[in-house]
Amino acid sequence: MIPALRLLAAVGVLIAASSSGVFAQATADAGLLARGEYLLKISGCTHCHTAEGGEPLAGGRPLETPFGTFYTPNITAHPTAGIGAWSAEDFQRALHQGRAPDGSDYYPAFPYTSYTLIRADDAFAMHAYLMSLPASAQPNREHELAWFLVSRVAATVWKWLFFDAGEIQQNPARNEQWNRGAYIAEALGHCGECHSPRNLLGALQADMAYAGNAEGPEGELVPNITPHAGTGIGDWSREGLEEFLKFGELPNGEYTAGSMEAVIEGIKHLTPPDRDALIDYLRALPSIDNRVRK
Amino acid sequence: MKLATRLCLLIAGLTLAAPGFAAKDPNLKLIKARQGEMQLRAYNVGPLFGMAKGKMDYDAELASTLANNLKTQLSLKIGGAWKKGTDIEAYPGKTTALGKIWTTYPEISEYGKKYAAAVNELAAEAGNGLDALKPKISAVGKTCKGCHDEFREKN
Repeated sequence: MIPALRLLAAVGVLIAASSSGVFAQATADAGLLARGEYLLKISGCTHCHTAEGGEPLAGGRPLETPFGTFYTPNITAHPTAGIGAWSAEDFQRALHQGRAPDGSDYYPAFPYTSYTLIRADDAFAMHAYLMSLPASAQPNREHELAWFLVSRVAATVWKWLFFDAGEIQQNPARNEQWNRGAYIAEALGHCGECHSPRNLLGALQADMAYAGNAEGPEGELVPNITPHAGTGIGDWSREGLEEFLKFGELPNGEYTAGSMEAVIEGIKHLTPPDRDALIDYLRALPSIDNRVRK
Repeated sequence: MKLATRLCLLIAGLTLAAPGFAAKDPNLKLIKARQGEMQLRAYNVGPLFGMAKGKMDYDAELASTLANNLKTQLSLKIGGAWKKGTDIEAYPGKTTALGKIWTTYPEISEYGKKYAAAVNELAAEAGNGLDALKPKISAVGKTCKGCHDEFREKN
């Protein structure tokens, strides 16, 4: 081969190699972003971090609780108003440890008690997707809390009492489907945060997990979703549960409203296998006889 | 007639009459009437939610018709069907209406006013496209849930 031809061939190989590399990188990024988008949807982030009629993820949604009103913060990529200055690790630490990059602790209105279970690589995917979205300069609004809660020290004490950080662990005694369902319900979907009653200090009552809560968000009544036949979802068919998770339609033809309607807007995106896994997991919960009433 | 025959007749007669006695309780008619009215609301609301949730295609004419049906229902004067004492305690298995409706009266009428306001807005917007329908039907649903959470037995 004459040198000129060799050179040409070498250039060709180099171009092919570099462009396929770029292509592979772009595909990997697209895959990461798509995964982040999916995780963000089914985890309910958008619902809580978007005010009614407000910019998506720019915060400002009031969460009325017995302890005062929390206003969700801006989690868009804006460097000062949002979380644009955070590293992926900062983001993962917020979910996993309930701690801000400045070291301060979050109030448990932010459900890190569930999000702590989220796997680090999933948190990184969520962060990457958030950073790919338009930034909003909407400033955060101060919470309106009882005087003894105004200091974040209260959140630190609360965490010391009630919180242990830890990623979800695979349960070897159960199959893959159950474990996936557990991850969706416990970690991402954080279903128990609303569907379980809380004690006087706002900590979830573990022995009543998923048995319903008469004092849910915005004073709503949150139903028992354990498989108890009379008071839970024990008499729902599998198709009924599917319809509910897809459209919010209840077995009696009514539709869910209020907070759960917004939750459905996220979890309606569950893939069929993930939906199946969630249903299996919920149906395998310990059955608790608890009629929720105000 | 032998005693055994008489007894048989008596038992047969009582068995036949029992449902008759029950049906004569006028309160049961009231309960059925108000449940009928609620079912009619559900009939009207169902497809509106179905459209909003992507379960069925949006149809402006149908949406407007159903929303206006709901509005028409607001004008019914059927407070008499909500008679004191016709709650779940007195009629278990027949109604899910909690006694709280009457013991906290007129608290429930505040819920009714919110529902009526939401229905009026829905009727005005339901025919103006899916994006106009969505928030209005959600608002109606929220008022339904608000009242059911307080005054209706769960399940």
